[in-house]
Amino acid sequence: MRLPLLYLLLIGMPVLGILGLLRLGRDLTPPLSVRGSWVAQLDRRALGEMRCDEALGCDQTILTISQSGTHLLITLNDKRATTFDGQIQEAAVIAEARSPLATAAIHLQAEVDRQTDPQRLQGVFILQGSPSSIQVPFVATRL
Amino acid sequence: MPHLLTLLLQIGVILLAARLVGWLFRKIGQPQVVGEMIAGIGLGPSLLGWLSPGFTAVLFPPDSLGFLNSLSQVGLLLFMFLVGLEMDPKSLRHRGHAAVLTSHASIIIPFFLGTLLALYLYPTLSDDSVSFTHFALFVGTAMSITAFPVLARILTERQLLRSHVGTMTIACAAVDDVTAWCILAGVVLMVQATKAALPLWLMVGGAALYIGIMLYGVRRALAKLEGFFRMRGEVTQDMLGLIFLVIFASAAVTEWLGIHALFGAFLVGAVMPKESRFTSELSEKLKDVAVVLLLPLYFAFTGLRTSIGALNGTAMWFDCAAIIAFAIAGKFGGATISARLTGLPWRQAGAIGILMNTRGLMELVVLNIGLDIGVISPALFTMMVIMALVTTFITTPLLGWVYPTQLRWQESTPVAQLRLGSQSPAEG
Repeated sequence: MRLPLLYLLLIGMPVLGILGLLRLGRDLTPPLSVRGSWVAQLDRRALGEMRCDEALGCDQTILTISQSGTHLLITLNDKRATTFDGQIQEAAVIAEARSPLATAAIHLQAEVDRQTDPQRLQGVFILQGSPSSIQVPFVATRL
Repeated sequence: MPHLLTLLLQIGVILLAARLVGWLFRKIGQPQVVGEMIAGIGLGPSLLGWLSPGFTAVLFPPDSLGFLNSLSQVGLLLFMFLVGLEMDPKSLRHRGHAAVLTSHASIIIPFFLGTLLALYLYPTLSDDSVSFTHFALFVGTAMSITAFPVLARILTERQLLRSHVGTMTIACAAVDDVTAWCILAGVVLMVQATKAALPLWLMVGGAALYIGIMLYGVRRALAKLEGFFRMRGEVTQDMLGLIFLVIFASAAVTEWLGIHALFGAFLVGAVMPKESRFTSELSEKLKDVAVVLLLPLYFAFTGLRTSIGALNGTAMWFDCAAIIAFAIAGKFGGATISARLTGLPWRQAGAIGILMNTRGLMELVVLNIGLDIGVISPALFTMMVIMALVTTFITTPLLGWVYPTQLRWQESTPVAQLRLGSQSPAEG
């Protein structure tokens, strides 16, 4: 008699608990997924006479996003493998390059088009340097 | 051949670090494997990459990691084969209700706590590409793991193997291992089914068919090896070659089925003949290469994916502490309480709980699978690696405190010898 009771207490009830928790968790809303590789097409006109940027390249750059919940680590495919620490809030991505580069500090602001195309990320790189900052719009699509 | 040179350099550095740090940890009474795990973590961005990113970039350039990973996976396949080889179903029979209940409780209770914790972790450390069900099941599985090999090693070193605590713990851990791998295979199948070209029913049916073929077909064929061994008196190179072929073929099949290559290798070990001389000799032939040369590569590869520096902010460290607390409460609490309720004294029950809380390499294997299939994020992976290290590290000192030597001798009873401990494939 004791053994079945122990099985019920130590095995049966936790199993029921697990099933209940799985049901409960279905209503949870995690952050939007932006992880993976994205090809960002840059608006060259914004680079003006610069034509190309050391970190961003000329026409396009690859963004590799590693995501842990709302925390993002974004890496560019330049020689320095410039990395950005970022956050995702709803559909908005905000990030800042980890270490100041020789030419400029870089910020990233972008938004995922949740309604029409969640595989598309549209935003701007802000190159902050002397004498003024340059905004380079981009449209990225997931690889 | 630049890749070959890089790989040779990597192997040299990894081996040196593993042996050195392993030796240091043995000096402080810890199993060698704990030192090797920490050496692997140290070679990654958590320590070496932080101290000297330039050197790390030269030692582990991104285009070389594929070769290192492949070699480490081969080592892991051999290790999993050895784990399966050491598992003797006959020794699990007649263990008594106490052992069965304790082993089941030490899986279900941490699984429950892991699922509970998943409610908190999911909104903060996951994303919407992973369903809560998959996430929670995986976290639950990861929480319910026990490292059977390192456990056996600790029991041997502390001369607990023949004690009541030792035999009970080994039996529980063996059941734990088999059950946890089955649950993990199911979870991997579920997750992969959402991405795979094969439909779920085909993957499940294929896996079931494959397991049936292994248990009822391949096992009988491999039993002939025992006859050849008795005839020859040794494991010949031809036999070894055949066994390698079967291991890798089985691993390829389970990988194709979407379960993971490790299960295939484990299954081959599990269906191998269990004649003690045969398994001893086979284990001896493979153990040193797998454990000394190849497993440290796996620890290093895990270390390269572990970035303690990425845990920035109080919130993340709080999450890490919560994972460790839930993991210990689940395993230690579940095993201790169930052992106590079946009639064991508190100290013995506590000793079983402490030993069952050891997670070692098996936890790292599970976590790497989780990261590979995308069900856990890099930060959560790092937190759970820390949990694996902490829970394994605390085993030996806590055991000495809760169940000291003088108590053991008072309670020791003669028991039938089980084949384990000194034959265990690794301190994993």
